[in-house]
This record gives sequence, C-alpha cells and structure tokens, in this order.
Amino acid sequence: MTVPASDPLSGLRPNARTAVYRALLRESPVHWSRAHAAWVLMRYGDVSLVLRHPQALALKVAPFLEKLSRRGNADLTSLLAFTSSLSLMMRPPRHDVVRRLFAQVMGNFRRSKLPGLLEARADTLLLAGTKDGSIDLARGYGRELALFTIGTILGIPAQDLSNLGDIGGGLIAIFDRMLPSMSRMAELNRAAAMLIEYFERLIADRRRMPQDDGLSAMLSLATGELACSDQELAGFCSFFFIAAEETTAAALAAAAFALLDDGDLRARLTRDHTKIAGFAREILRLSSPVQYVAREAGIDLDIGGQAIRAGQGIVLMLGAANRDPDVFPEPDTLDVDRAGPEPLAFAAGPYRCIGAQLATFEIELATTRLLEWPNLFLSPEAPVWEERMNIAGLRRLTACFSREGLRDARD
Amino acid sequence: MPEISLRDWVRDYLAQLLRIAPGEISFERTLGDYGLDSVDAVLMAGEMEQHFGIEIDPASFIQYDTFEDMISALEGALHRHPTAVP
Repeated sequence: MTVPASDPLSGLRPNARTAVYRALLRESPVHWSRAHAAWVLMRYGDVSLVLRHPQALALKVAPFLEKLSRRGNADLTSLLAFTSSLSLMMRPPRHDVVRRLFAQVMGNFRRSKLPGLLEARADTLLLAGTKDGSIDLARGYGRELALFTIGTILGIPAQDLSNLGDIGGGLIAIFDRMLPSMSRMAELNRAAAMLIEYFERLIADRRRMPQDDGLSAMLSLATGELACSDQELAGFCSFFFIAAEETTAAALAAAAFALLDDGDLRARLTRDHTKIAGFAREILRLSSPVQYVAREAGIDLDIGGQAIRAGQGIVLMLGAANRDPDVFPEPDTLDVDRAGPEPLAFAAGPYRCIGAQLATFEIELATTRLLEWPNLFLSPEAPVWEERMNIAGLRRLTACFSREGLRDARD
Repeated sequence: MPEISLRDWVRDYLAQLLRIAPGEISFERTLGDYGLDSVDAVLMAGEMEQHFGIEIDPASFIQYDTFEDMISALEGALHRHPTAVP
C-alpha cells in the first residue's frame, strides 16, 4: 500500500487505521500534515522522546477558539471555559499541583469500596444479560463499568450517569479533529455548557453538604493548595469525567472483543489468571483508546532528523507508536507474554494519564468477570465502531448467552 | 440545486475576504499564499456548509496543494454524496 496523496490521517476510520499506520511507519514516520497544521510522529522512539521532553508543551487551544469566536461571531464561551481549565491543568506552573491533587483523590481506590462495588456491578450487568439472552458488551458493559467507576470516585448520583455519559461522548469530539466545523463547534459548546453547569450544581451541593466522596475531597483541596474557583473546578471535573469514561469504555469493549474472539486465549486466561495483567497491557497497546495527543514545541527541536521550530504543533500518534515493529515484533499480534518497553497508551512523561492504574484495574476486573461466563459468545452481528478518529472505540458489540452454558454457569 | 457553483462561490468569498477583484483570485495558489490561516479555513467551511447545506471538514481546505485541487475534491464528493462532503 502506498501513502495516498491527500492527508492519510484526515478522517481516518478506526477499522482502517492499522494498515495506514503500518504504511506511514515505514514510509514517512515523521511528516508535516497540512490537515493538522503540525508535525506528525509515528515511531515509538520519537513519540516517547517528545512525550518526555520538558519543552514539548501541552497545546494551547484557547487563542484559536477566541479568534474563531470573535471573527465567526459565534458563542464558544463554555468551550473556552472548558479548554482554559484544561490548559490551567496541563501547563506549568500549576500542572504539578493539579496532578498531585487529582492523584490524591484517586490514589487509594484499591483500598476503597470501589473494587467490591465494581465487581458486583459487572456481575449484575452480566446476569441481566442472561435474562435477555444477549448483552451489548460495548454500551451495556464496558461503558456502564467505566461510568460506574468515575461516578463512584467523584460521587455522581447513579441516576445522572447515563445522561452525563451521552453529553461527555459529544464533548470528547473536541480531541478528535484538529479543525472541527463551525456547526460542530456549536455542538461542542453546548455539550461543554451542560457538563460544566452540571458539575457547578454538584459542587454547590457539596459545599452545602460535604460527603465522603472525591468531589468533596477535591473541594477542600480547591480552596487550599489548588487555589481555583468552583467554576474552574467544574471544568477540571468535566475533563476528568470524559477522560475517564470514554477512553476506559473503549478499552473495556476492546478487551471483551479480543477475549470472545479468540477461544484459545480465553481458555488460557481462564486456566491462568496471572496472565490477565499481560492481556490488559496488550489490550491497551493494541486498542490505544487515545490514538494521538497534540503538543507544541516550546523551543526548536530535532526529532528523528527533522528540525521542528519553536511554536510548531506536534501530533504524537500513540496508536501507531504502539504498533512500531522495531519495538513490538509482530505488532498486530496479541501476546500476553510480550516483553519489551511499556506501551504508550497512557502517554508518558509529565503528562502521563493520572488514571492509568485505575483504568488498568478496570480492564483486569472486567476481564476476570467475563471469564466466569463460558457460555457467552460473540453474536454473528458485526461490531459497530464510533466514527471518530481519536477516541474511537466500539459503539456496539453484541454477545449472546447460550442456554446450555447458562445452566453450567449457574451450577 | 444552488444557483451558484462551488467554484464561483469560492472565488467570490475569497475576493470579498481579501478585498480584491474576483478576477485576481488564482486557484493555483494555496490558503497560505493569501495569508489565510486555520481560523479562516473553519469560517470559510462554515459559510459553505450553510450555503450548500452540506458538512465540510475544514481540514480539507488546508490539506490540498491548491484551491483547484480542493475544489475538484469537494465537487467530486458533492457529486457522490450530496449531503456529506468529507
């Protein structure tokens, strides 16, 4: 396959990306993309280097949105509030403080009530599936568990989660295209407004009556070390929510798909649960729920023999780096015993995903619970993917329970 | 069908934006040649969306070598999928 003349990464479909990445890794691992107005890096080594480089800064989106809002005469206020809380979070000097505080809120999840609750939730969903005879492992299992997890950590009322997840699913498209259309911008702005308003109300509730949850913990931190307003905190929570929900849902669905699609692998994991950790690592590598992240060169850089000037954009293709054959031999094969360096699914360096441990734990747990249902099989119906380029997981993955197996599982 | 062709629309839009005569617009040049940036691309795509009732990826304005290439691609796509131009 040759690299097509127009930008191969523009509008890339999730089920077409492996072949495109393979070609670009071979033929143009460092290239300028006009569609993204940025350098695109494909190789593990280059991506890893930039992720860890102190002068590769988080991208500033606000100036672009401000200009667009002014000249296009469009109301992008909420989108601006959302992205400015992002850059407040992502750029020095407050970056380290915000990370430390978020880490505190999430850090002790293993000792919290979450693992037990999540396991019960997984079993409830699967058991309900047996009554219907089938279950959608993308929306009805992966997404449900991801929502339940972040909802439990922050203290979001259970009845609000599904609606909030839908709004978040709309807003996540901001990480998708470098240049959303004006009509898309207006949709994103509405989604940002709804999410931020929701968290502002929840924060006001907790101010009146603190509870034993992450949001209340964050509130006391916000007035202390973090020194941010409730509105800014609502922006953080909105990001935190969509980052935890959509990406983990994608990974959980990918895990379910891989497991049910390969009988030998499933049998092996059933026999030997110690391999589940290696499985989760491979799922993260192969599915790369965040396919790329964008940075901005703070100084002139030399990457892979290419001079990148200060101020230029850099797109780091995590999904491609995770399939770099020089680092991961036979990169498209799922190998639970694979050695080698850490995949870049959670990025690396100063902006590495704060929720990495939590997400990995969710994948392991969701996989372990699925292994308890040997009578669950993929339906012949083809899986449906989200039509997004960046955070693009399965939208629908139907699996069916067979009657004989159901009896076995209950015995 | 819209009365004005995509080609003429682009020519008129650029002429108005750049305050030059439509006849001076060269489709052999790029957005960057005229000093236009990504904000201009999004705004122009937005105007086109409204006028032609289709969805356009603003990145397509930037990724082609010239306006000529971009217009050909959009015309082709408009022909194939009257409601969605990639």
